[in-house]
Amino acid sequence: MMRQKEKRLIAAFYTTHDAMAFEDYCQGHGIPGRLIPLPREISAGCGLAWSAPPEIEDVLPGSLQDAGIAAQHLVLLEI
Amino acid sequence: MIYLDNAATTMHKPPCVTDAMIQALTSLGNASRGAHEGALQSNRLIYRARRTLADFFGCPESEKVIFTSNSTEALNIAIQGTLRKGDHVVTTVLEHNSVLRPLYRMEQECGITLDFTPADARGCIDYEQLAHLIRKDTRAIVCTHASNLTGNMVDIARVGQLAKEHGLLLIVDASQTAGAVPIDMEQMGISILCFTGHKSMMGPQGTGGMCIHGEIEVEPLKEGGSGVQSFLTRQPREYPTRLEAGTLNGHGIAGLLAAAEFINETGIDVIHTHEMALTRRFYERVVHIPDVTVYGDFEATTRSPIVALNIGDLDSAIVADELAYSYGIATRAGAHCAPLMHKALGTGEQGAVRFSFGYFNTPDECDEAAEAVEQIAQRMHQ
Amino acid sequence: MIRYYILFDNYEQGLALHDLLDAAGVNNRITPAPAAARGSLCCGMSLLVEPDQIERARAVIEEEKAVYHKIVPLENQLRSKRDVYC
Repeated sequence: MMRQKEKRLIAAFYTTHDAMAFEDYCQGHGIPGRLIPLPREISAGCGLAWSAPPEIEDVLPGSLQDAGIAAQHLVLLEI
Repeated sequence: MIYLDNAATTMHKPPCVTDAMIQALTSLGNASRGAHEGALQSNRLIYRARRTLADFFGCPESEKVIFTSNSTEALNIAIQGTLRKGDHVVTTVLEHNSVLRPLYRMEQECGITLDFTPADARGCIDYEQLAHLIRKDTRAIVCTHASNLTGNMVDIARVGQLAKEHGLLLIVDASQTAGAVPIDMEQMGISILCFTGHKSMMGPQGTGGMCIHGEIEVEPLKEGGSGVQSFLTRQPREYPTRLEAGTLNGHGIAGLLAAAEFINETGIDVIHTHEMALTRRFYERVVHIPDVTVYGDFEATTRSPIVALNIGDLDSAIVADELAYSYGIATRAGAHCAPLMHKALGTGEQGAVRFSFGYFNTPDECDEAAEAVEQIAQRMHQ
Repeated sequence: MIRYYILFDNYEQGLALHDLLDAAGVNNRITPAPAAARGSLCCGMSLLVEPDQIERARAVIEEEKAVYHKIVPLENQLRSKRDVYC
């Protein structure tokens, strides 16, 4: 049985390097989320995306900026 | 065996390197080829390795640390990926074939022109002569950081300054110095640094890489699987993917990362001081043995831990064989893939016997090796 | 004393003959190819065979049709090690 879809905040990246860098940053700063395969709804350079709870929609752009990473996309998606 | 061929490869690796590789062999998936834990473990390890090596070599952007199978591959990518028809390149006679052959190929197939900075009898280049070779159409200086034959080091910061003044690329072969002496690309003005993992870095064979400083367009040598942007007909342009087609050697990179961490923990200055002490100890003995000729500049304040010598007119192959067979001492004889250096030293026919010291060699081993050289020299006379 | 160096075009040839000679009980040793024997064409590895073994080595080469470049006799440039202790 497929799991229930839920709304997630998805950051997609230009490169795998950026994806790994953001995971490293988030783990070091206690930011919730994890790496997932890039959802088919999004087209991006890297096949890994960061999936975070939608509640941190206001926080994540700042985290990306602090980490020095330019996300290719930052969207809310039901996945 | 007394292993004194560290310039070819370090035989004794820190135990953490072996441990890291065994761990990797039993746990890593394929980086950039999936999002499951096995692939992510590999991705994380490789990312950490890029960050560590970027700091290690003073490369400002970790995504511009590119992994290759060795410095030969890195040099081929750097040389073939940056030079174009009509470019002029200044290089030196100190170079290894991993620099010379790609340059000769570009000269023959792509119409670049080359000029070689000569060396004196000690195997030292003249920086004024190097500067005089620069022309309006010079695009790059490609040179070694240290000769794999004599151990003489090139003042890369000085060459970097020259390159900067003339707006040139500086591509450096750090095969003999990565892991042996501190290297800071930013400080030294290096555009592309090519290194190998299995010599002074004390990592496994099959590893190495290049670090690119700044906005330099390097065209890929190979194109293929990238794990990302699969519908593009050409290799993606973003670094590092641009220059890393195919599956990376994750197991090897695990070893290389462990090796870099070992060097960081031990202190590269500690390692260098130890290796210099061994080199000096051996040199001071052998240089006084009758009929022994030592090559290189031993007045320089720093050098690679190498002593190359000949005994009379004995074939270097015979001496190396005697050292290995009768004394259990491993060295390298012959041409060392450095034909122009041998021509400059006048050792083209005879070759030379190269002793190269590593972090795990001991003073006793130096003394035994020097004693062996002395005994062989004595037996030369009929 | 004359010793014999068997020279090859590449390592694979050298190692193949080394295995064959070992299997036939012919004493031989892998050694760097001396410049005087090598010229510019051969690979840097050779097999060193003492005078009392060379005919047996040639017989193995013939029988097994082993590939090699040439066999070169060379005077040993070094005196025997035991002289050191006299």
